[in-house]
Amino acid sequence: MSQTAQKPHLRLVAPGDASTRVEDSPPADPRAAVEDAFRRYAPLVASLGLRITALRDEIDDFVQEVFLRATRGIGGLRHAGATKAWLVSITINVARQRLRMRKLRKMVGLDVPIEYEELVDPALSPEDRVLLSRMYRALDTLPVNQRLAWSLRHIEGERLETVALLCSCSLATAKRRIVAAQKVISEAVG
Amino acid sequence: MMEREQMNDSQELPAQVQRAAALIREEVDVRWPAGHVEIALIQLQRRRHQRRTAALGMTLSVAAVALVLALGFGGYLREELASHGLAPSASPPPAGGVIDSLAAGLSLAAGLPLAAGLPREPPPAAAPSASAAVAIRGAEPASAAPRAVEGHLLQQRLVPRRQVAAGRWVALAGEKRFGEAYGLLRQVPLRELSDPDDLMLAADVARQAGRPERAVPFLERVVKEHPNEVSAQLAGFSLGKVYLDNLGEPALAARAFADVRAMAPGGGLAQDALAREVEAWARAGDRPQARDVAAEYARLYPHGRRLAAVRDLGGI
Repeated sequence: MSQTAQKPHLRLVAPGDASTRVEDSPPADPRAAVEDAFRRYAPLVASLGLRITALRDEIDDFVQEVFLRATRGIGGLRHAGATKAWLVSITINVARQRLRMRKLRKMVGLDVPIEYEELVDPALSPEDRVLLSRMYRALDTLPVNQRLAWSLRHIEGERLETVALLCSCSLATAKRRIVAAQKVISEAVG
Repeated sequence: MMEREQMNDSQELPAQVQRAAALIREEVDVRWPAGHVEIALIQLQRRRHQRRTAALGMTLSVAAVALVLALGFGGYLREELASHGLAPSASPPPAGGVIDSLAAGLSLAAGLPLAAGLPREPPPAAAPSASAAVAIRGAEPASAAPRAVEGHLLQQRLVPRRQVAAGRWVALAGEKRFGEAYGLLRQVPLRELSDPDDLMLAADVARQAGRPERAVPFLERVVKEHPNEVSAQLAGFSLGKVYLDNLGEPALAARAFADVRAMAPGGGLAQDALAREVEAWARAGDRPQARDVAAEYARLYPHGRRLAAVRDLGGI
């Protein structure tokens, strides 16, 4: 069995997780709810955003964007307990937008190359740092939706149903995207 | 075949890919220093406020443009109707600005002649002819034209340079070229910086350019001139850090941290400000004050994340 299946890193929408337990009422004070959510989940949003996009210089701005969107939408949240899952879905949407923007910048020659080796501790072995860099470069070649689906499945260790939910697509589409991405990554890294 | 491939997606990862995925999972992470979440939250509040202000500004701009277009169109319509004899044309077209245009529009709407709308200044007795105008121009003093040119050149030379400096330093700061940004910032008159965000950015530029002492006036202005803005807490906290870490003025730092607490006793930075105040008093050599503030920290935050350090510094 793969490592992904053995050791799920982050259950973004796990039913047994106390932080995602569904409560029957919406947040009473939306502003206070966003601030509370920020204190609890900003590090999670930042880490997830960084792993998926690798845009380290933009990560503070990324987190702000996620919570600004949350500010606008939290009034419509029906269950205060679903905040975490909801924030994760916003994170994925913002990541999709940032990755598309980066592709566009690259297309017109305005992209600044990312030093992927600098994303990790310098004490890590050179081989591992090169491997990580190759992986991110392979991910960069993928269409954004394929990259998101593969990252959620194999980096975050999510179930296929959750991947489909977070990518706003059907289960079959999610599987197709993961398989297509896997083929490219296996050729580039494997 | 394809379906089977899809179902087994996780079992077909080559070892290298699995290793790379595990590396990302375990090693790529954001490590924020203590207190960063609270600072980021304050920045979020500032951005929220900026967006609201921008949205309001946009709405007002659109309304103003719509009003101007509507009034302008009213004038055009009036002229068109007058040229076809469908509206009174005795009065001259409105040229006195919005009020006249509005009067024209209202007159049209009410079917009244414009003269009945608002009182107008009496027309000149006789308009000067073209030749008279030439004669008048020719009678002007010879020095007037060169003076005008000189004034124009003076404006061209001086005003744009300041305007360029005023706009360019922000762009350079955005590109993290803080040395150049600071060079331009010094050309900008301080009175032109009044917005708290501009002042905070100016302080950041000065600090990043290696001139922390130049950040002090900007931060002090945010605290004094915008005490009700969320930026004021952040500015006060930054001021304390500059005094303590860069300028070696722990007593001033302690007062700055105390001000942060006074501004928002229950705010996001209050706990960190109190802890830094203890540190500042301890470094200033004022042991009794450090002990008192440390005791207050222990009372307010019995499970505070800096309790051990505070106890140590305050000697309690």
